[in-house]
Amino acid sequence: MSMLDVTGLNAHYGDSHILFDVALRVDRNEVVALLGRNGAGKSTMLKSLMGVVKPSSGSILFDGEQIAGRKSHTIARAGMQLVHEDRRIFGSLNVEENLVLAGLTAKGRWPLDRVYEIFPRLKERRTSRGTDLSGGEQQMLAIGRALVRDPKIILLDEPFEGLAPVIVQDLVRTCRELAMAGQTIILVEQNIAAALTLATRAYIINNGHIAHEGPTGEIRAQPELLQRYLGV
Amino acid sequence: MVNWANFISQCFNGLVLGALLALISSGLTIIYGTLGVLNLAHGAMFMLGGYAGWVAYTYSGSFLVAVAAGSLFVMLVGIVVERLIIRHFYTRPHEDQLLVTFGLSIVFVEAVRFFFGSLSKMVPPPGPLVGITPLGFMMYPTYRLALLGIVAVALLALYFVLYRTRIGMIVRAGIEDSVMVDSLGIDVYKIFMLVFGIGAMAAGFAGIVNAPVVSIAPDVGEAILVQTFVVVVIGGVGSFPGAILGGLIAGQIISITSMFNPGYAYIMLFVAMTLVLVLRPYGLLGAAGRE
Repeated sequence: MSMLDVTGLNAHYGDSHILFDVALRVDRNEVVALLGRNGAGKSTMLKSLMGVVKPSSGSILFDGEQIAGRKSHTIARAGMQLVHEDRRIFGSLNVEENLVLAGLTAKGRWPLDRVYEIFPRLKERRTSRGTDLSGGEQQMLAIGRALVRDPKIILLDEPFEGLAPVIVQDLVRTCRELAMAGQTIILVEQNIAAALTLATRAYIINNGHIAHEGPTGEIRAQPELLQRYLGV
Repeated sequence: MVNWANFISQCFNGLVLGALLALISSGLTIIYGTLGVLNLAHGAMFMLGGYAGWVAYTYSGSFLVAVAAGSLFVMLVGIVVERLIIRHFYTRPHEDQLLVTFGLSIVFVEAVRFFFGSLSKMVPPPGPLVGITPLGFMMYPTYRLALLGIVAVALLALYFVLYRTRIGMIVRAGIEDSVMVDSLGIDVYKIFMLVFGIGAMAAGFAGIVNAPVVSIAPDVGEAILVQTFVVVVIGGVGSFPGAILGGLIAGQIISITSMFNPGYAYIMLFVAMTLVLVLRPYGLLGAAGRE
């Protein structure tokens, strides 16, 4: 059975229809990339899975459980975590409080030291307020905040965006280690090179429709696909 | 020519009023910050606290019982109102939220008028706090001095809950980004209910502890509501420290202006608010970028 099985998913923002009958499947321990231009519906897709945007119709089976239309906290407790594009760190809370807060309702909560092992920088900055962190540190904290909950699946929305190349390298390595350890991930990323090396399979989403689906090796071998749908 | 004894005494009055406004405003500001609902019934909560306390006082003869009853009753009212009515308005436009809370305040005021009449009620201060205390340079009503301490303790308690407890941590996070709190597996709607209850309780507590100073009447919350809004705007919406600073500033403005001409107290208050809005649109201690 798949970890995540989405069928016929539709989503709207107000009057505008964003996702059209989207189908998507993610297996356990798999890293899947979601590629597409700006405004193609990638973020909306992740938000609909997390319940931040309420899907207008469709089915989302998560580890055998129907979660479409549920509230975010229920979905989080079922084991899903979304790392938002804008990170959404609590600026008035310090690093440690952000992590503690995230773990409060988690069943298999990680000890904070396990997060600090992955991101030693966060340990150094654990008493700094969220507003005082650099972009890279905020991203580490956003990912750490998801990991604390020991989620079955992590949805990463543009985790490398706007960061210095050195930091991106570090984060890519961290993500690869997580994947090797068996973490199931959906990755939305404009940095296509990074996305294609991390993921084993990818979906290309265009104007709210799934335009293509296949192993990343196959997509890399078809530059015309990337040219047509991503403009690269 | 300014009479200095009078001036200092007015400053003290301003401090007491300011502390009281700070307490009521912190209730309003955490409600708005967390739930995104501007609660126009907040003044009515202040009034209800006074009446619930007065009823308890009439039966028990104890000021302490009156304070406990006033605060707890209003907290309960807050929780029930949030569960039955407010929660249906979280996704509705702000106009609807304003209308429903304004409607609630009318219902509360008229219900009190119906049961207790329009004549004002008095709750006397507890025995040891009756009378006047010499401060050396002036004589000052003992209860008003005590009130300053009482409100300071209440503000400290609120500070403790907000900044030193798990629940407070969740509330502070919720003030910033309630959607993210929900995404971390915390049922934010339960937090909303709690915040509404605590926010209402702050107003209710203020309503009863202020009753020995200003007698209570059904419409006593209206003026308070206006002043509280100004305080929240001056301090910064959603900011607890802002509510305290704004409260103290507003207290002094009202009190000192009243010494010269009470008619100008509100004008000066709104002048101050306008100045803040021009110079620091998010309030003195508010965070930029809030919706």
